[in-house]
Amino acid sequence: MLERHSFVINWLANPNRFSKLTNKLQIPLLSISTIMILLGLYYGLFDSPKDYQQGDAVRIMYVHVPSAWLASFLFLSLAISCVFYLVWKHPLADLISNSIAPIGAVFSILTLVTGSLWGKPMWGTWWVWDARLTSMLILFFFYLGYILLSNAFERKIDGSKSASVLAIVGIINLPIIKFSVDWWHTLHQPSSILRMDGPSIDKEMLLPLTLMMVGFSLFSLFLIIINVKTKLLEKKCEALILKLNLKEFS
Amino acid sequence: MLQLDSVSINRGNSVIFSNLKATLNTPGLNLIRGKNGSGKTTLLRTIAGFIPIESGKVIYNRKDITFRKNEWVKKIIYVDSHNGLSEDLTVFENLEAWLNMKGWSSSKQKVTEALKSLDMDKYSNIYISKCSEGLKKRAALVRLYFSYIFEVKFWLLDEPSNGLDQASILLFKKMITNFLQQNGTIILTTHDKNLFNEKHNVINLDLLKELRAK
Amino acid sequence: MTSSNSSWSFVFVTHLKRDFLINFRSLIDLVSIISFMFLIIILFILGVGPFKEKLEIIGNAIIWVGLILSIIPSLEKTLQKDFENGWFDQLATSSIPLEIVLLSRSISYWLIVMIPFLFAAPLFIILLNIELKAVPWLLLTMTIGSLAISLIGLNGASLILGAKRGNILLPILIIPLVIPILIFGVGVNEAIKMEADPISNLLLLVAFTLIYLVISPFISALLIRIAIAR
Repeated sequence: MLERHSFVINWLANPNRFSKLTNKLQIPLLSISTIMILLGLYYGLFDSPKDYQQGDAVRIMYVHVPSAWLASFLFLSLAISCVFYLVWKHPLADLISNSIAPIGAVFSILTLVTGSLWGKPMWGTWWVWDARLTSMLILFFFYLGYILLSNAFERKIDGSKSASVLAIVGIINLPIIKFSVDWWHTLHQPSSILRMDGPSIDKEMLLPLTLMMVGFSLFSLFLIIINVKTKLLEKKCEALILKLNLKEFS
Repeated sequence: MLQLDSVSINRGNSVIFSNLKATLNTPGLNLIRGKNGSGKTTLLRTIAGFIPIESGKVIYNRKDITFRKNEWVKKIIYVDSHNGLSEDLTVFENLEAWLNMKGWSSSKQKVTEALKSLDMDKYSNIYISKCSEGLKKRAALVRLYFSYIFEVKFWLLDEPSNGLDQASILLFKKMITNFLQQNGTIILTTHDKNLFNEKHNVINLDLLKELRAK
Repeated sequence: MTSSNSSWSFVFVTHLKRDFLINFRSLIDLVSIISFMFLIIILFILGVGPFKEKLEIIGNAIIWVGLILSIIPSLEKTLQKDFENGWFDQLATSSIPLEIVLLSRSISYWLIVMIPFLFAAPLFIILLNIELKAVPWLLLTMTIGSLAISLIGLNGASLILGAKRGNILLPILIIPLVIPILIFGVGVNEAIKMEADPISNLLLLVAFTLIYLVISPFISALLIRIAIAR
C-alpha cells in the first residue's frame, strides 16, 4: 500500500510543507495588503495633488500603474515557474503556474479598463492605440492562450507541459513584440497626444503609488496562495477517490 | 542484458505502474501480459525510450538507456497499432521514407525483397489510404525484415498480429522464429496465443498490481 | 562517425522529399489556401467599398492579413496527421535529432505554401492596385515573412498536438506571435509607398526571421517529445 502511493505521498510531502508555511503567511498578507491598499487609496484619492494638465483624472494612475506592473511581473513569474516545472518536473510548480495565470489575466484586463477610463478625459475616446496599451492587450492574449491550452486536453496533466512551453515561448517573444509595437507606434505617430507616462511624478504622488504597488503585489501573492491551496485540496480529493475506487476493486 | 530496475511511471495522480523489476530474456522472447489499461503499451513505450522515467532505470548492457539514446534507438524497431504510415504515400514510399529516417540507405531491390517477406510485393504501389487494416499492419511489419541487414537487436511490438489474416500470421510467425534464431530479442504484447510456440518470459503487470495491493 | 553531418543533411533532404510527396498528392489543399486568401481580400474590399484611395491606404495590410490568416488553418494538419498515424513515434526511434526533422518540415511547408502564393500574387496586386515599383518588395517581404510564419506556425501546431478542439485554439496561439512579422513586413511596403527608406524595416524582418529559424525547431521538437511521452 505504501509503495503504491509512494509517489503521491512523495509529492504531497512538499506541498504539505507548503501548506504549513502558507498557513502562517496567509492572514498577515491579507491584512497588510488591505491596509496598504486602503491607505494608498486614501492618499491617492484625497491627499495627493492634481496633475496640472490632467486634473483629477491622474488619480486613475494609482490603480492603473500597479496593475500594469503586476500583469507584466506575474507573466515573468509564470514563465519562471514553468521553467521549474519543465526542468525539475515539480508538480507544485505546475499548480503555481496554473494559479498565477488567471490572476495575471485579471490584472491585464484591469490595466486595459483603467487605461481606457484614463484615456477618455485625456484623449476624448475610450481607446487609443497607444503602444503600452497595445502591448498589454497582446499580453492578455498570452495569458488567455496559456489558460486555454492548459485546459485543452482530456487529462489536465497532458496540457501542463505544452502550456509551460507556451509561457516560455511567450516570455521570449514579449520583448520582440513590445519592441515591434513601439516601432509601429513611432512609425504611425498620430498628432501629438499626451503619453500615459506624461505626468512627472510628484513626491506626494510617490507615497500612494508605492503603497498601492506593494499592496497590490502582496494581495496577489495572497490570492495565488489561496489558489494553490485550493488546487492542492482538489488533488488530494482526487487521490482519495482513486484510492477508494481501488479498494472497491480488490 | 535488458533489465527494468524499479521503474515507476505515473500520470498526475494515477499510478500506472510502480517499482517494476524484471530481467528480460536477451536474446529471447518476452511477453508483456496484463488486463486492459494495466499499462502494457506504456511499458513498451517506456522501454523504447518515448516516455521519460520518473524513477528507476531501464538498463541495457549495464547502462541506462536514457543516457545513451542514440545507441539504443539504432538497435530497436518499434511497431504499434498506429503503424506510422502516411495515408498519402504508397506502401513502397512509406517503407523508403522509414529507412531514410532511420538513417539507412535504401535501394529498390532491398525494399522489394523486404516486401516479399510478408507477401506484400504486389501491393507496393498501393496508397496506404486504399489499404485495409490488415494490409497496413503488414506494411508496418515489413520493417522488421531490415533487422537482418542493419543489426537490429530488439523488436518492440504492440499487438502485432491485429488484423492479420491466417496466411500472413504464418509468415509473421516464421519471421519471429528466424529472428530468435539469430539471437534477436522480442518484447511484445499480444492477445494471440498462437503467435509463437517458443519458450518465453512473461512480465505480468496484473500480478505486480496484486502484489502491491497486499 | 565522421559522416554524422552529412547524414544529417541526408535526413534533412529525405524528409523534404517525403513532405513534398505528401503535399503534392493533396494539391487541392493548396487551392483552398489560395482561395481562402482571395476571399479574405474580397471581404475586405466589400467591407471598405470600392474606393481606390481607401484601398490604396490599406492594400498592403490586407495582403499581409490575408497571408497570415490563410496559412493558419492548414498548419494544424501538417503535424496532426503524422502524430495520429504514429510517424512521430517512428521518428523517436531515429538517431537523428528531431530538430533537424522539424527544420526540414518548416522549410518544406514554407516552399509548398509560398510557391503557389507567388503565382497568385499578380492577381492580388491587380485587385488592390499595388504600384508596379512596390511589387518586387512586396514579393520579397512576403517570401521572408512567410518563412517566419511557417516557423512560428509549426510551433503553434506542435503546441496543440493531441488537444481537443486544437484547431480553434491554434489562431489564438499563433496570431500574437506573428505580430512583429506583420509590423515589419507591412513597414517595408509602406516605406516603399511613401518613398522612404525600407532598409531598417527589412533588416528587422530578416533579423527576427533568422532568430525564429534558429529557435523554433528546438521548441517544436521539445513539444513533439512531450506529445509522444503522453
